Amino acid sequence: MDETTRHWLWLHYATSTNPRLFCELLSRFDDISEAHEAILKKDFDAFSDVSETVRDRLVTAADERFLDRYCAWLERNGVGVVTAESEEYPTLLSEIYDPPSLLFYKGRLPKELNLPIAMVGARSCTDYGREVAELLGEQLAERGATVVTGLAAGIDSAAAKGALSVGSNDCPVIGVLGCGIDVTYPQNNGDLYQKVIDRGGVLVTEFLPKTPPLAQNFPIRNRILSGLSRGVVVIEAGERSGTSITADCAREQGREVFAVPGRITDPMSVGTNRMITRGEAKPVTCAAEILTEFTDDAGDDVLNGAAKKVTFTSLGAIGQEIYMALLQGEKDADELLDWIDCSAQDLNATLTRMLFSEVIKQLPGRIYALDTIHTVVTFDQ
Amino acid sequence: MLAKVESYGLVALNGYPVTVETDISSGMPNYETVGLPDTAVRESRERVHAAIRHSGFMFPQARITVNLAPADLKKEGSVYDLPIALSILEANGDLRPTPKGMIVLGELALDGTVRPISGILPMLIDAYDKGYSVFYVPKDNAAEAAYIRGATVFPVENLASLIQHLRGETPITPAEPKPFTGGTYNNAVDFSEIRGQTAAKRAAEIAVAGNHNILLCGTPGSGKTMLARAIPSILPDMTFEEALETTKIHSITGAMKGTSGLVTERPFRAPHHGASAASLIGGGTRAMPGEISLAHNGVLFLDELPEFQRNVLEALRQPLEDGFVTVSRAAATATYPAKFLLVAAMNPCPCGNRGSRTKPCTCTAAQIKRYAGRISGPLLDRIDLHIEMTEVGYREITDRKPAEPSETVRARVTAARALQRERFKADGIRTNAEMKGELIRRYCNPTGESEKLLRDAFKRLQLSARAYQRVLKVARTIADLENSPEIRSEHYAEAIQYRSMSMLSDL
Repeated sequence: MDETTRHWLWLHYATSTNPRLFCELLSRFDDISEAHEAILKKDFDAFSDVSETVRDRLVTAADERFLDRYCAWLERNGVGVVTAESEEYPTLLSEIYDPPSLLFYKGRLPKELNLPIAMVGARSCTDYGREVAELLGEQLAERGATVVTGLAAGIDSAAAKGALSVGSNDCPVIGVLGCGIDVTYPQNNGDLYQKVIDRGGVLVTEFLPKTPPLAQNFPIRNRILSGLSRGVVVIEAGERSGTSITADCAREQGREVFAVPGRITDPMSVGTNRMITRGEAKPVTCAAEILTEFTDDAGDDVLNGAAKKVTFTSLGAIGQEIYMALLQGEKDADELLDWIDCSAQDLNATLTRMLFSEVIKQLPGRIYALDTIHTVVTFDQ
Repeated sequence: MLAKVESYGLVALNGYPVTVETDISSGMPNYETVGLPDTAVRESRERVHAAIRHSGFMFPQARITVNLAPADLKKEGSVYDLPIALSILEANGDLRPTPKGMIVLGELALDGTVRPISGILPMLIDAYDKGYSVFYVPKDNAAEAAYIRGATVFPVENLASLIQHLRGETPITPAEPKPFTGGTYNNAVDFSEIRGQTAAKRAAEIAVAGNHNILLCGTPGSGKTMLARAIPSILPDMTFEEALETTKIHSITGAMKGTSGLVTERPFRAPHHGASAASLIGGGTRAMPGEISLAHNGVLFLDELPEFQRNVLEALRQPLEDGFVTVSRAAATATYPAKFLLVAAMNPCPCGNRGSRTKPCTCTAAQIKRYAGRISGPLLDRIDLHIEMTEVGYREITDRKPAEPSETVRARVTAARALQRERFKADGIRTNAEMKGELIRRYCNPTGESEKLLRDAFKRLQLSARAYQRVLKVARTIADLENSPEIRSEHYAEAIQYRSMSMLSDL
């Protein structure tokens, strides 16, 4: 690692994740090596107003042996470092108000991204949210976009999974972490992390190695998430949520904000629906509606473009009745039995067939719903 | 003088004849029991002493040696009180030598009354097979013993009456041989009392018809426990052979003392989830049967399945597959039958509300995964039917539409079981669930459309080879319930429904 990067690592370590303090201190010297020199000489004139803690850290980290150990650790763990000054620093990110002074990354960090779109949403999402996130992630990746996500539980992971399922995209996902680069959060997402890297994507964070995923980290992280992207899609957000903060942040950075509408009675859709009604976000129902803001070649503007077409008559007598019943909302097996005049065994057999032909899908609690994403039922006159 | 009286011993379900030999010789008054007696046998000296005196005889003041042959097998329990007393009286000359081929069993009270013992049925069945046909048993055990066809069973009330009988003074009337009057059934909860849950009831019916294990999964209050408790009401009646098998096991634990004799009602065992592996599988120094053997030919209900200790659940795997269990202890090794219908119940997630449409689930995906992970894949594979039970709404509770009573369902189940018995006559099994590789190939071979359906299911549900075979077996039962000799594709389609539980596949 070159001398300058070492000095950036030193000042970043000392100021932790406070880019404003970083810039302030840097501005007092002609260049960073002078600042480093000053600390080594115990010349604290320029540091008179910084706190005791920061000054201690400045002194500890200025030691060459400390920096040697730090750099060796980063190298050993395959962690790359890119400073705000460097050529490789993402252009979009450098345009925001307070870009991180440096980024740790794992994987391949591209300078220019093809259509980076952030997808954010609740961690405790509904099945609807998960399904939509996966589908939109897949469609975005299919159309060459890169999905930027926080890789947390819920919407984040679903979006990443959807995007990763597209083989043709050589950088489907960028993960922006709210913890150290060597910390996996949630713990069982290790496989997903690895897959992002394997598929040509990258994990980035500005937090020091070993930083735990503390609640206060996430708003700080979210500005990078939106900063790296050209647009932000909000899938599900509750009444007051971190997701809304990300959306506010994105607007301040001048990014396009999109929201997926939900049912007005659904608590997990209150946030997104409000963004739409207030005109803060553009409502979207498919990937094309997002991409059309940035490119002329956005693709079909239907959600289920790839869906199979099945005729109503081909469903059979009981199948038709099940379809008609489910058109009025999801139902469990017993409700279907009340609705349709047939025996439990006939219903079971038909349900299996309809599940396999993807006309319907099964939700937890043995509740059935129409699988409109995979199959469209047409009526032939 | 030397005297011999024959009695019987038991190691697990296997009996062996025991000869009680008594020698009385002159010398310093002394009493010694040899032949590996345990404490209960050794203490018999005090009971025998008092019982002889209170029955109007003199206890000989001489050197007495009681030998229980064969001398290298451990003798346990109080079974030998009566034969020891008899042999002492015989050796003392109070009684003429007893005829050969009679077996004497019983515990003595101090006043000479004969008390019931445990394990009478397995002992007598074994002895009868070995050529013994005359039995003297405690009066309270006579009901149990009287089911052995062709044997003469004398119910003994006290020592004095036995002596009078043997002397030919007041003969004891042999117990009336009891004919088997058919099984009885428990209808503690009738199917008609369960509101809604038509789909789950159908699954329960299939489970019982083919003796398939079943897992009920549902939100709290969806009626899992109630449905499980209603299952005994649709079980087919026990046959005589089944009743004997079950009674033998219950007899060893002493549970049959003072009862009408035979377990005619299919057992329903519901151990608490704190149960240890030994209590479920069997154990103790004497390798006693556990809950799974006590549930033989009946139902083993494990409520809150994930709350059981993991090692306890894993221990169930082998008996579930084999239908028997071998319990090995330092002192004894025993093999007990354990063919039971496993009914297990669990919540869909730690908070219980996953899949509920009225209450939100607060569990994270990781928590649900961990909860479901407490039940290992191999154990789940051995459970043929998985059914998710939906919440019961207000409408269903207040529904006045009459539901089917247990009796109707039981009739269908019995008919399906009869079909199976007929089919497997030559194969040595009774139900579809017991089919193994070769038999599955012979009796369930999907073709054409069914094969395509199953191939789809195999891929989509990521079935293991074992789970796949379970689907075939369940389809066979569904066809049997319809009295259809061939398994049609809709039968397979329904069987697949019982393996597609979203909780276990979706995460």
